[in-house]
Amino acid sequence: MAILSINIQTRGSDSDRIPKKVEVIDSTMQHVQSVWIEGAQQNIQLSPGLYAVILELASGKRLEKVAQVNSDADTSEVRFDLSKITPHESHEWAYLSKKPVETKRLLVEKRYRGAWVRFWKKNSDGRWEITNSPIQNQSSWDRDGVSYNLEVSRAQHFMQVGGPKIPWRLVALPPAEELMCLIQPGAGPSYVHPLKISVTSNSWKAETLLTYLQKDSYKEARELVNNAEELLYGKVSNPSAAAIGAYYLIKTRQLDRLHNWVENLRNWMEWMPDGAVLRAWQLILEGRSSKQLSPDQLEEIRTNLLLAWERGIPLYTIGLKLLREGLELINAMMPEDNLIMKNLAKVKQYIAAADLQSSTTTFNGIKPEKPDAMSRTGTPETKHLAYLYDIPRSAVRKALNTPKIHITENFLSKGMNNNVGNIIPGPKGDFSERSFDSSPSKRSKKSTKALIDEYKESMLNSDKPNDEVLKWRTGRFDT
Amino acid sequence: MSLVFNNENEANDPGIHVLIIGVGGYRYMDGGEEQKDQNYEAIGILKQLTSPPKSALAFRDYLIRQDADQRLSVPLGTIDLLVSPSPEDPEPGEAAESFERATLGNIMSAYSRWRTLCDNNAQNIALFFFSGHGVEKDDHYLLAEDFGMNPMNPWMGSFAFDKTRKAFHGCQCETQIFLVDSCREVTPSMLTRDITAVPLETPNYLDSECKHDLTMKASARNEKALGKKRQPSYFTQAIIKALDGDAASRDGSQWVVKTSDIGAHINQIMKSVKSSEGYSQRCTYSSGESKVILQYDEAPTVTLEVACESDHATAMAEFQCKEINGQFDRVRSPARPSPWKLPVKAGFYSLSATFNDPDYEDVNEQFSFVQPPYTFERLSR
Repeated sequence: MAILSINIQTRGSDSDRIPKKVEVIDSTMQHVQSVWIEGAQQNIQLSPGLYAVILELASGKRLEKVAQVNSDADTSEVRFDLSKITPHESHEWAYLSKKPVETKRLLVEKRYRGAWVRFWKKNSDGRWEITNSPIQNQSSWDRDGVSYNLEVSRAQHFMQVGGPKIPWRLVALPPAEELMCLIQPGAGPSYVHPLKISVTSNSWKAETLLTYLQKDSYKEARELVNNAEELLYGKVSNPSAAAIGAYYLIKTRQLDRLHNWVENLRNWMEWMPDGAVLRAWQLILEGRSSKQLSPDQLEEIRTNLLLAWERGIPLYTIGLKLLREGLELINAMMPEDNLIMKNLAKVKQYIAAADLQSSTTTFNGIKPEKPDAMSRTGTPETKHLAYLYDIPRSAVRKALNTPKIHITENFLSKGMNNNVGNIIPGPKGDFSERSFDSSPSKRSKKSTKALIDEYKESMLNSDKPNDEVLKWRTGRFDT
Repeated sequence: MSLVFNNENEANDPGIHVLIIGVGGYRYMDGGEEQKDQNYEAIGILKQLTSPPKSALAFRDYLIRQDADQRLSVPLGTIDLLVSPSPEDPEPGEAAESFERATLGNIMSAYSRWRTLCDNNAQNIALFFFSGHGVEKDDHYLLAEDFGMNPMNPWMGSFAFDKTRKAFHGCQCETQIFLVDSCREVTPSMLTRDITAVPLETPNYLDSECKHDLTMKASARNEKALGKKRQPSYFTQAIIKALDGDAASRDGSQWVVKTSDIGAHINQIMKSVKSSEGYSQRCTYSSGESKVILQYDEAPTVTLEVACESDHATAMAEFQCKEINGQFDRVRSPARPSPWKLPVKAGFYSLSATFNDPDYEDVNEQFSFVQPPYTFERLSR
């Protein structure tokens, strides 16, 4: 036997940990072996010969190399360079663990002007409120995508995106100290939402499993997670990964491996609806295997589904779909149950407004409790608004007319090209009547529009946004 | 009679039972044989279609060919075919070939017969194919020829596909394939109406999902399924290409097409059918455990594309492609800047590019693993 060394080069320090499937095929086209690599390098033993080595990412993207394995050589080597899969290190995780879009569209295009994000949190009293932006400064803003680092506590959270030409859309955020979110221009025609949003925690095995589950790739899911119990076992430290593991066991009907851990997930994570959905489905599948449901089982399923809905919206699309199916089942068996009927109608509204291709629950709507397939566009009058990439002229102008004039002057002067010069206050102290010194030797009047456009040109397209731009983009301008 | 192929035997040996529905002519809609005034605001503009009958017939013919060549994993048992031709293309099949019309009544009868056949043996494969108008609200409604007969409730001429699919899980056969070649759009005014289309069969929520499921739709929600006039739709072409080897993988001594691989590759295959359809038409699918439905003794033919790092180098290169364990050996002379596109059997190849121009360095023996559905190699030193 000889050794074949498989080397995978990535950019991000954590990207090595994202599981990647490698399949080896011999020259007679026979499958030889499959391995999952969660590191930068792995050796496998092979008989001497010619082999195809196929690296497959969770997105379905495949890279192939042909390797000649010799008996006399110390070690043969095959190298996959994934570092060029995206031009930005901060986007790499999405290409390795999720299914991002590949498009030439950019966030500076007209349709994305003024695009914004804000964040919602469900309070302990059950009300949804706009919350402080959890966007961390180490996020990155590029013309082809914005990658947020978010700190999300253990509660129901949604990120909402929208814009003057972008329908408002909400995306569930699983709790994590470092949640990553990539927002890219969409690749679809006009009737598809113009933004593609990918979300992940750094529980890479669970997140990769979720991607496979989302596309019904059970074979890969099974190969990846020999032991889904290990995800469930860590339910206290990582409840969202535990939920993904349990969804996998439910979808693959491995009920005996769920033990009583789903009940624990439901009982211990009261903020998370998914535990109750999972418990209901554990009971439904037990009933299906015996082709009957006793009144007690039926009641327990009903209780769990109602509990799930009382807690909120499942974190994952798979959970939202199972919630609807479960409510349909109970509705069919208990047609007089008005509460079930009412909840089913509501869940159907979410399904109608949802993007069922996304792995985390994603739907169009004005607020989390108001899903709407034909969601509105525009910019809300709200605090804690963060602009996605572009900062609209109207927002800059509005800021200039506020008492925060000092901030604004700094903000503008930092952003201006040298030939724009300094701001000279107008007689009324507002921006609209000010004139601008375009150069030391020559003074000229510049319109607000021209000034702001020059500012935007110089700042938004620079590699490193200054502090003021960062405030607009992280939603901390008014704090 | 909709039964156009019958190889069913009394022993109920495993077989593939197929129900194919192609609706191009909508009798009561604009341009139909008995056009009625419709409330188009409530249902959207629905035109006569020439592609669905062609799709249905292409799919039927393909299955019969594969059965004759003994490539199906179990023999073809029966085909039920319902076709409503468009007035613009009244004879979509052979000259004077007539069809049982795809009215809702006929669809219900054919479905019932088909389901009974499928139920006879757990090893049967149930294959459902629908091509025609569809709209989606809380279910995916597929429109029969007599949609709009009652303009007060046009939906009486349609059926709820998603519920029908769910109900079919109760059938004994373990492999169930549903292919739906329809749009899934919804008009704003449909949102305000209570649509009353019913399924062809009522689901039993205690039924488990079948073991080998492939339920595939030609478009994503709120999106369109497309095709050229008087030709099979892009989706149907992609399905046939997938079955024909584009979704094949090696399994022991044979090449096989599995249910899950069709789903996994379909959007890529769509691009090869029509490159601009790669995104604008996104197929969706759900699948269960994988199941082999076709098998080939020979490796499938794959398109291999070869180029150098620049168009200029591609134009200057003499390319050679040699099969490693076979006889295939082909050369392309210099002078074209476009990549060298050649059909080859899936397998291992040695590729090279040589130049007369000393500004370019030769690339000798770069190995390539060519596999379905498509392989692109860029040669570099």
